Amino acid sequence: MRIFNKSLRQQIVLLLVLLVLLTTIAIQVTSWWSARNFNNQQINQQILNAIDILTEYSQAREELLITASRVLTADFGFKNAVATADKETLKSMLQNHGERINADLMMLSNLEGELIADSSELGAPKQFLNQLQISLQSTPNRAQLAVVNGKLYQLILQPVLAPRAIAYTLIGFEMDQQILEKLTNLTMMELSFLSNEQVLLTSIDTMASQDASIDSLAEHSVDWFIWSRPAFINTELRPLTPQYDPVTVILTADLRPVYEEYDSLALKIIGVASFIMVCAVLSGLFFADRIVRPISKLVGVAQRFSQGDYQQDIQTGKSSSEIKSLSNALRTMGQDIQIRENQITFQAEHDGLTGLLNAPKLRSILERALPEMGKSLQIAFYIDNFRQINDQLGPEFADNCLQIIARRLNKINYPHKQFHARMDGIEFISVLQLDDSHRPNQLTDEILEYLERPLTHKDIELQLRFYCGITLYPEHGDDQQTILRRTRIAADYARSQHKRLHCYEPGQDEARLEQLSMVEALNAALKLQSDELYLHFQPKVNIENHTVTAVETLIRWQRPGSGNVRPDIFIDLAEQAGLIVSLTRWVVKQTMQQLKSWHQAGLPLQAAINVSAEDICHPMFCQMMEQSTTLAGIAPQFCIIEITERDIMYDEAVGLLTLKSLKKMGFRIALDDYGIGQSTLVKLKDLPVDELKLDKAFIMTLDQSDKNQKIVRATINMAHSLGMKVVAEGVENAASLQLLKEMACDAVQGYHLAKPMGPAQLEIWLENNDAAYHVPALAANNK
Amino acid sequence: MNFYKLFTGLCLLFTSSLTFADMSFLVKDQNGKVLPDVVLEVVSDPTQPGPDNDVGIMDQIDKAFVPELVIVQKGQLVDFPNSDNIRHHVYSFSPAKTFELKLYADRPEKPVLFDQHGVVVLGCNIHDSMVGYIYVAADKRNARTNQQGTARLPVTSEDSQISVWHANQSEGPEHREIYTISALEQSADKQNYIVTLDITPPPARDTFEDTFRANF
Repeated sequence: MRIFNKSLRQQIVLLLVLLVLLTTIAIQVTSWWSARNFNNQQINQQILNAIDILTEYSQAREELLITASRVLTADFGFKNAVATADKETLKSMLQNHGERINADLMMLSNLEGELIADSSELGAPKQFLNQLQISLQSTPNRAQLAVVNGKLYQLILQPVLAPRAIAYTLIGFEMDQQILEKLTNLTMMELSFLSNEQVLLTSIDTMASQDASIDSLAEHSVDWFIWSRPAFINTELRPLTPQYDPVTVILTADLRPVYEEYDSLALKIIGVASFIMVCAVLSGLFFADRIVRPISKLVGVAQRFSQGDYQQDIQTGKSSSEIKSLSNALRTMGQDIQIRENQITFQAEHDGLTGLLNAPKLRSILERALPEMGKSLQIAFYIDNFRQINDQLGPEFADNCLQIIARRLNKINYPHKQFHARMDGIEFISVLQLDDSHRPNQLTDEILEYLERPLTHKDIELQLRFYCGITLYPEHGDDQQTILRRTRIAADYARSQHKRLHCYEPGQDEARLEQLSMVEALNAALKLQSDELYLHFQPKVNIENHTVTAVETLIRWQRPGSGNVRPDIFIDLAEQAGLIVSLTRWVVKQTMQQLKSWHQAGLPLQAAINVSAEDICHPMFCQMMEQSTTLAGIAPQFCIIEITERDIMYDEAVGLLTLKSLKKMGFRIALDDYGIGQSTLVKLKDLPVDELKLDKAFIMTLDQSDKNQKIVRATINMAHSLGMKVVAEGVENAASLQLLKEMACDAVQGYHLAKPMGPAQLEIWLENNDAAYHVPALAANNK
Repeated sequence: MNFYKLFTGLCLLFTSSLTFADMSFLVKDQNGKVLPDVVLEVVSDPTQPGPDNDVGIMDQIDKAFVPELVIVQKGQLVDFPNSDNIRHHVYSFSPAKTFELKLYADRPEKPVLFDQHGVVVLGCNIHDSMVGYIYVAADKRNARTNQQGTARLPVTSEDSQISVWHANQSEGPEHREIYTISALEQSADKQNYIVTLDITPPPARDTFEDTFRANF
């Protein structure tokens, strides 16, 4: 509806105008209605009165005329003349006697209705006279209105009695304009006499002529705006009159004066209404202004709200109470929005858990603060074993630890500027302004000492250890992005090296960048299935019978433009970048394909595949292994899964479960790099392990170290007694091989025997050394 | 004295009708109602004139002619004594006798001679309600119907003609209807010849008061 789109001012004015218009129309209609009813009543009453008056008048006149004519006909001289006189005498007598009573028509006829004498010499035909006489005889002593020779008469028939009737006298009194006027004055209505639909006599002067038909009288109307109103109300009266030619009296009420009166009243009302309408528009504009002005002011306030200005003095002045309460509501709203905005801003700029700054806020602060401070120290903290705390004591506890540390950070008493934030990936980062009196390392130490104080939560006392990376502004970077990145790199380094504190060293950033690009390249190589990645195999030689039953699968990466990348470097990177699962999957598939082709070629070799902690914790690992072997048609027994004890312990429960499932499926498990790291004999007895791979640290210098020989011999004995086979890695000389043979080591692997090599080379190698190390026939292969 | 003469006349009439072969007539109006005071008179030749009778009397008592009808023989005199203590102005415009006895009391100077056959309608100029009739007979054989509407006439032949008159005949008060007896209907017992007259009673002798009516 367009009307609702209009401004308040327009609507108010429109409303007032409509109200006035409606009132005016209502008054007009009501006054017209009651005036019409009143007038109708008046007119009806007038008509009734007129009929009464007319009746009374007619009677009186009739009686008067009858009396006069009776007296006339009773005159003895008259009788005498009628009985005896001749026609001419009679005629003159009729004239004479007619004048006595002012009769306009005098006729004498015999009892048969034949004309004897006629004073007015009308020469009415005999038949007409007869009809008239019969009509009049039927109403003795009554006058009848009749037309004679086009003129209207009140006619009376009187017998001449001598003393019995000897003749009839017809006496007529003309109804003329004079009488009509008299009647009109008496009745206050217009009168018309009609015969045969023709107007004989009328008092209405608007009639074009007296010959006008009765229809025109009835249909006469007055135009009024678009309607036409009937000008007259007609009432028909039938006086005593001959049946053969009846005369009708029409009483006409002229409505035109009524209309005039009403029209002038209507004009007055319209005039007054127009005046009121003008007043309404003016007062409407005035009131609308009073309402609209404060509203416009409040609109301005709301607009400034949207621009973020909530502290406004809202002037309400002399406004109405509604406007005042609206202003108050707006003011309260502004304050509430301010509070909420502050909250939202705080939440947007702070970490929800600890209340410390969040990374984006810290960055935006440092953008300005770093140049202002001139010199600053950045410290990034990792909590050592935070993952284990989270796993073993629950995330709630871990969160509490973070909160406690955050509180401690906030409490650090330091005379210069300091910012503490929580950042993604690392736990915390602190930025402190430096002056000449503070040495960065000492300052960091102090802070760490404070943070590492034992904390107690829920009756558990815990001492946290941190890995810290620090950078100095502006030495290590001159913008917040660089400095924060480098701080993080330093912390990552400290963690990876298990150092409590590491100061950023120039070049680390670039190394990290190199690593990142390497990760990208590795990822691309995996996805594209390019030739960049390929496998090498190192034979595992059974010492006892000089057979080759298995090979260890080793991945190699020929990176375009960089040559061969060291496996420990890119595998490390893959682990850090979360690519290791994909890498392992690729290795498994490729290995299975290779085994398949070897098996088909009559080389029933087993393959040992290195897997990481993340691999065995991956929920789909067992399924993947099963699918890969099934797809290649290789029995699980031909697949040895090599894993370090440390990787098993990464998530011990899940790791053990996976290994047990794999073993159940038929895979063989080898404990890699045994002897270094977290090897515990307690755990060893429970592991589902088929063989131990002695770390090359013991083997490479076996022939020169007496201690190593003792350890290796003891380990071999222990493994054998636990039912495990022992494989020695890194056999680099014949002396060591000889020693291992003596110690009854089951299998060996090393440069002394064979380097890792491509499948084709391996096949050649096997062929060349068939005399020394042959691959036993499939049937001969045990286990 | 007058009464005596009339009585003697009637007796004579009665005895003479006995002498001849009398015929009886019954007069009714168009509605079958018997009409008294109808005058029957033999009009066929030869006429038998009546005797020279005494002067007839038409008295006026209480603003009325008494009797209302007097039958006289042609050439008879009639006296108009006024028994009221007011004056009367007796007149007649009838062709049989047009006369006027201007306002008088007691008795006019002389009786009036009725020498023409016919009916004379009498009125009083100052008392419009007074109407009287004098029947002037040419033949002595005439009769007036009694209250039973019958009268006898000494008629010998059925070929004879009679005139019949009544004051309220439709044709007017001076009209006499002529009938041939043989053309008349007879009653069932053959006793009477039946004469039927068309009667229109004159409007009541109105007064001025009549005209003042309540309604238009």
